[in-house]
Amino acid sequence: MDAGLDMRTTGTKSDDSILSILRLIVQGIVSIAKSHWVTLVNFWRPTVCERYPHKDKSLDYKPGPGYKGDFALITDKEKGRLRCIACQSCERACPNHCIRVVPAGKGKDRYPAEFYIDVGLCMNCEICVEVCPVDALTMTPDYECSVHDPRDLIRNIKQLTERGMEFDEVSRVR
Amino acid sequence: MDSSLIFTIGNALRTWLEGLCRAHGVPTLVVDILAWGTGAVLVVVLGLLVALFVIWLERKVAGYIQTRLGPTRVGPVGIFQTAMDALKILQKEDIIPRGADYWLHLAGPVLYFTALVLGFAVIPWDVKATLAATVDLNVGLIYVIGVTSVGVLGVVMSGWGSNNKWSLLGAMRAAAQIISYDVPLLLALICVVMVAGTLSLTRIVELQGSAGILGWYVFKPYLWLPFIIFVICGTAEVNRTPFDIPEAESELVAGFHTEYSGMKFALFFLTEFDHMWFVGLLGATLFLGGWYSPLGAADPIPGFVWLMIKSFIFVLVLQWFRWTLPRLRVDQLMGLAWKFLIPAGFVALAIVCVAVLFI
Repeated sequence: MDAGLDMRTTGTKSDDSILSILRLIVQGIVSIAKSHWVTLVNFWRPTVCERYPHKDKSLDYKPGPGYKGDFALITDKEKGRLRCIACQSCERACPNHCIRVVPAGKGKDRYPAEFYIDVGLCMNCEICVEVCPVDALTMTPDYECSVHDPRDLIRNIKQLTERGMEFDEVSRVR
Repeated sequence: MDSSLIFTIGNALRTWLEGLCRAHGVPTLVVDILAWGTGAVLVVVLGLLVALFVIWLERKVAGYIQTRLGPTRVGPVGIFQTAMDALKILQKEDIIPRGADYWLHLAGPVLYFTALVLGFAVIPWDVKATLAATVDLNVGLIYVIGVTSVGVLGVVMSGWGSNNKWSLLGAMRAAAQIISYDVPLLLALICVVMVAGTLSLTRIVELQGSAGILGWYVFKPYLWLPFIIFVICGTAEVNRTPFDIPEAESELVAGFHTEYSGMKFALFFLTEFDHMWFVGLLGATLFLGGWYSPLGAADPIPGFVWLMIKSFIFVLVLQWFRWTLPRLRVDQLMGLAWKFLIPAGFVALAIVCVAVLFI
């Protein structure tokens, strides 16, 4: 059989007899009808789209723990102070150099006076969280980080502490 | 509102204008030209508006078939999306490629559009037949086939004039495809003409409607095969998937309109979707009883609305085809036309011959 009649969908061995050509035609019609049935069924199925910010803001769009969103500093609620001991491990470990910690105090009272993270520069590698010896730094499921001014992307210690108030442990998948 | 009111107003206006002409010694031909011009502009504007709507519908249907939403942002359910797209495309630069044939490049889309719009002239919109735009030609069907086939010349002109190999390949494919599929389409239409015994579209509709809903040609078993051939060839004439090899995105970038931008591209785009609606109108006229209501003569809904509903059934079916079937290969396309549809057309012709003789 030549190329023009080669419209079969299956790998059936074909010859030039009129019966096999008719069989091919019937097969083609049946398969076309089947595919149209599939699209018709899908047409009436409910859509899977979430119209995220527009439809229903009350819906919880938050991803689960372990999502690498915005940063937070965890507060030790018993001692009433940040867990962070300003050891600057995160600052040294950051491949992008987007963390800056200004330590204050001596010995056991050492604490961060300033803690800047440029989340615009961050590449979400989470090495800072891994190296932290006291599990003070975490990434949270908060992902709505868009701002109009890139300078607003630099987090300071106040923002980081506020966001960390709802976390007792580092947010990660167990 | 009953459509007869419009005709009453129109006729009154016409009588008044003719009286005015006679009083001032102006030939009444002026009134005729005015009436034809008004009607023609009305039909073109209607066609463009419907094209915008059909594009929106296409995107919605595509969305729902793929279980997404389609356009939602501009206006309720995104209905103004295509109007905004048209505004955007109007502002774009009109690029003419280096080495292009300026006049052919310009004339291509214009001819493509004009050929289609000419076809609207003979569509019977409503029961009182001659809305100013609609001409009841006694060779209406031949006229439709004749003028819409000129459109392929526009495609070839734009493909040749663009100085681009993809455009040229697309144009040659389009020419081959449309000429091939004209043959089985004509065979299917001849079947209808044989049953009706006339070439006038208005008369064909009247013959169908006189016997109630069962008189529609789609309900006559011996016209089922021509109907199927008509739908397949109609899809091919419009260059839509699965027959869209003239513009096959994955092979030819955009086929014959690769080198077009701005308003010229918009013209191609609108014509393509308008053509789909035109095939729907033609199908509704020839097979679905045109303006006649399925509820019988007592139906208060104007015939124009029924014609629109029927033509949009065709449009939806063509869109369903598009989002279901993959594109045919070039040789498969030609094989389908010459080895399946033309023999099937002759078989249909034979069946209709027997039916007309003995039923």
